[in-house]
Amino acid sequence: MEELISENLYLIILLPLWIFLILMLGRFFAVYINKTLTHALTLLSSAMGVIATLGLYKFFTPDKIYEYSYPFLKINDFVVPFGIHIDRMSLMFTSVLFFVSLLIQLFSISYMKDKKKQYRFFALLNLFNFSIAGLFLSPNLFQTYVFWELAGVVSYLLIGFDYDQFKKSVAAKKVFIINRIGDTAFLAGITMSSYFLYEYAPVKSLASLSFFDINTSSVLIGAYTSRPLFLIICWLFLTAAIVKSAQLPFYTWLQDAMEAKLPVSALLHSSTLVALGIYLTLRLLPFYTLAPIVLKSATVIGILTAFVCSLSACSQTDMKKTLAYSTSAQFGLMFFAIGVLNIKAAIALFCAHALIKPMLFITIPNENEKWNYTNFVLFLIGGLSLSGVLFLGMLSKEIFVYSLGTTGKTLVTILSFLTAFYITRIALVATDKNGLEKGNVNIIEILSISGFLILNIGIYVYLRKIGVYKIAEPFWAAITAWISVYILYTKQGFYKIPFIYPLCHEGFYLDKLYMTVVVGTYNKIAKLSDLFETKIFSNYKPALLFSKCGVKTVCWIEENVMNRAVSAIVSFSRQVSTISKQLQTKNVQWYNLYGFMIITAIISCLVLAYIAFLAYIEGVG
Amino acid sequence: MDILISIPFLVFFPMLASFFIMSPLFTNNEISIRRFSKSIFGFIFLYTIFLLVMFDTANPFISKISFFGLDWIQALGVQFSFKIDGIGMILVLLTSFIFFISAISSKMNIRKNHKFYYSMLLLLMSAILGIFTASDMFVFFMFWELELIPAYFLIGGDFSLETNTEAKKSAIKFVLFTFLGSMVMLLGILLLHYYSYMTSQTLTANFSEIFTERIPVIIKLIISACFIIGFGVKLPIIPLHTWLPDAHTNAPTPISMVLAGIMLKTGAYGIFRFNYQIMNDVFQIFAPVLAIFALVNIIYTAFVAYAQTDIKRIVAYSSISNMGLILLGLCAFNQIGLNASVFHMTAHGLVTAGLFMICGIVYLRCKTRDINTLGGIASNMPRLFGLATLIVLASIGVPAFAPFISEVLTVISAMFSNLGIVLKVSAIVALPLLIISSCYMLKFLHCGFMGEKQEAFAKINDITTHEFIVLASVVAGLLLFGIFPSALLGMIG
Repeated sequence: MEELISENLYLIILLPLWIFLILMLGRFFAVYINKTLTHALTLLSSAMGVIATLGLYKFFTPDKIYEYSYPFLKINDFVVPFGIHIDRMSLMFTSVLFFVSLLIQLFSISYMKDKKKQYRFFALLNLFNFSIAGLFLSPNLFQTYVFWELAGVVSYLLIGFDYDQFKKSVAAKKVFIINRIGDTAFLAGITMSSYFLYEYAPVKSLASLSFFDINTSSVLIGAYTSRPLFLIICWLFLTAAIVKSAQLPFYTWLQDAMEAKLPVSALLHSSTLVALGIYLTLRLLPFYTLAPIVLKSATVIGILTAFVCSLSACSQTDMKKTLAYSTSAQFGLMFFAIGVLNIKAAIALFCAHALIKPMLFITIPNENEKWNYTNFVLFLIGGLSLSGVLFLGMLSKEIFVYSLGTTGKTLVTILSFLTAFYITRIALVATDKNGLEKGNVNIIEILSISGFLILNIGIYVYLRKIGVYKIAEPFWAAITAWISVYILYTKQGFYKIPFIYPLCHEGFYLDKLYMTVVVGTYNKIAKLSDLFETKIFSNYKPALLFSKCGVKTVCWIEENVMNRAVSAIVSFSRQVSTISKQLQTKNVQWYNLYGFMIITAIISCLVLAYIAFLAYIEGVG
Repeated sequence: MDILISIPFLVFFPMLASFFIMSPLFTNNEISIRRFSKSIFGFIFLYTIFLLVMFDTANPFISKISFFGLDWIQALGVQFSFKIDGIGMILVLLTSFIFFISAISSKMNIRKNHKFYYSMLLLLMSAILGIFTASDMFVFFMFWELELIPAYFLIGGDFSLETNTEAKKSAIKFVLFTFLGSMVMLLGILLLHYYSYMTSQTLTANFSEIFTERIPVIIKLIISACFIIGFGVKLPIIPLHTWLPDAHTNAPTPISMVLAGIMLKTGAYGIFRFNYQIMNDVFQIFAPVLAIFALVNIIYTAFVAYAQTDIKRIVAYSSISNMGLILLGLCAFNQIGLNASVFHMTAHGLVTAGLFMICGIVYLRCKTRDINTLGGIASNMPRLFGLATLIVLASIGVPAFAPFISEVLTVISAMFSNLGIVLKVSAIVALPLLIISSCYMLKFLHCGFMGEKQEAFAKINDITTHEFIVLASVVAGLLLFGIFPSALLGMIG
């Protein structure tokens, strides 16, 4: 059973791709697709994924690995294999992915009810699942890179789904280009590490950077490279991860990604795009453990992001923006956990976030509509969980704080306080703005939310049973925040601090900085090169001038030297002819005289020459 | 079966067809000219596929024409000989494919002088096939020069309803540049032929028999430099590139497809044949310098492309940028680099043909190519928009499309190269291309198609079946090589 599923897991991964193809191309081949079938196929593929990965999870002990690959690219002895690699971690990430996307797809059925182009939307959701699952099950870094890029592209297509709305398409473009920076760093890291293994390692197959040999590879690369170069390689990989996970200084793309439809945002922010950074960092941990300074920098980046984004979230008035900042902040916390090598906590934080964030997204009200009581309550439950008061959110913080020192504990406590602060505040702001009502709730929405909630509670109960954790400081901090915000808000006690509030509200002006400085510089360089192109390269004036000068010189010579010479000859011969004309008298006697004179002259010349010749010979002799 | 495999037939059949169309015997009817020449192109495409099926990397096709039992130019040892090896086979296939689709797309763009146009197109194909199959330097040079005549008339000719005064100027510019380049190349060929004869006493001009080992290094350097300048005009390498944007922008759409899709690749092919293969020891000295030129190509033109406002010019500059990538792959001077380079020739040939086709379609419908006035046509033309998105994504190197494989392989090959630190650094410096190219190509897509609907373009129609077939076949080719790269890489060997 176990082997059967492991061997055929690639079919489960390919199923979303196949359904994508059916939905996109089925219309051209006379396969009639109705909406129900679209929804059913989409849900089926995710459900199959959930069943298969959860089923396998039982069989895979922490050190068991199943790997299958075939050579995708082969040039002499450089081989890039493609295939699947199953272990505990990839199964964990894949199962969370499929579970979250199953529930979000369920929600999208109700969300997309009256919208056009449903088939394309669901097809893209399937393609997204395929790219992310393919990444989580990659056997080597090359395949990871391929799916990494694919995930970026599909997210671009999903964010810019309504392409006739200018703002959305621009946001999609921006997200794609910022993500490309990380991709570039990733490819540079892969190329450099692959080179050192290919050139120096005893076995050429190591150059494919397989995860199976990642421990060996990292040690070998560390041995073959100088220290700074190894650090650069590690930092390149870390850059790729922090761009995808929306960390400082690249987190601005996550706010732009908010232009997407609600289900897409929910998917991007929980278990798909931003999760890739965490996944990559966990996979490449053998590299980072050899370079503690890189781990330290990951910690610093994580903490900084968490603080900056939490503070920014505290001052937002738009719910979606708050949630976007909150995602960056939570992933900062995960990087903090990885930086102090608390892997268990990082994974717990990731799972908690992946299950809570979509719930928050689904329950927020539409713009200018009243907020449902049910949704409001569910939002609060999700918010409590995220800030570490209820269920898995609480447990993950407990696991994290358990191993930390005083400084770390204080930081996490402050962050929990801030999390609770912004969630409560935004809930209160939204109720004030939109108002509450006792409207009808959509049964499908409730189904998907309850799915998240049940899993959240289920994992919490299971983990509580097997491990003993004490209620920690973050819990109390969050409780304090909830109560204090409520009291402050009802008493109108909020006060906009003059300098800090606008700073936080604009996200520390990072986005504006990029838009003016980076984009401005880019445009300037482009303009400058264009100027260079038109004014220098495509400028033929010097060449034309040169050739004109040449032509003029030749003309002058032609006119003044050649022509003059010719005309001089002409005039000379003309003068000769006028003289000779006068000699022509039509009188034979004159002609005889001429003839006689000429012949006499010639003969006398000859005689003279002969005499001179004889004299010369005599003189010599 | 051997009797059916004939390279001279492949090369001269389009030429004969061209003369036949040109002759007064052939009818003046527009439709029959078009159908006849399209069938010739289709037949040649099928024939190259047949050759591909029969092809075996171990024994390349070789054939020789003798005139009454004698060589072509006996006194110089020049033989009229042809050879198709793996790389030649790939490029021949690409040539016949691009010419076939550009002949299909000619229906919409060519409105006048059909007889002249199609005969010149066939002649151009014959010349380019000759370049890719010639195995003798002088035969190569003959086809190289022959290519100029039809290319001049096709770029500057009067084939559309509105008159384009710029076209003639750019055709002259193209011919002047290429001709100067080929003069330098001829000098190189003559020097190589002379010194090869002087040092080895064998009178030959065949690529595989020419003997360079005993030529003094300084002479070899001069010969190599001649070849690099000669092919650098066609490739184009940066200071020699200014003919390209003008020629590509002012030529009719099918001709732009051919120019960017194939004609530029003849330059890269020449550098491969002459510098990489024949003068390989000197090429190792030149490679780091050329790699820097390739980097300038890649980065500089990418920035220039971003500043353009004409969509056709964006594509033209992007193809210079991509040719830099091909050059970088060759400079790496290893097996991976060669593979990446040839792969990128194919991939970029397909992509750029598709992009020029899109520009042509947009221009036909909207009567403008200015990026500031275009926009909002996506909802009117969903089929074109879908295909354009796929091709643009392919051009910026997205997985599942062919350019992705070759871009990654080029970077890897430059990193793996044994020719010193310059190439390793250039691998890293070339990487931002991924970001810059996505900037200008997405600008092309967003400003060209997306955005709010406009009044001016409210009544335009979606693409016709002809256009759909062309673009869809380009996308199919890109997907084929992107998903099964070993199909192509196996042939390069």
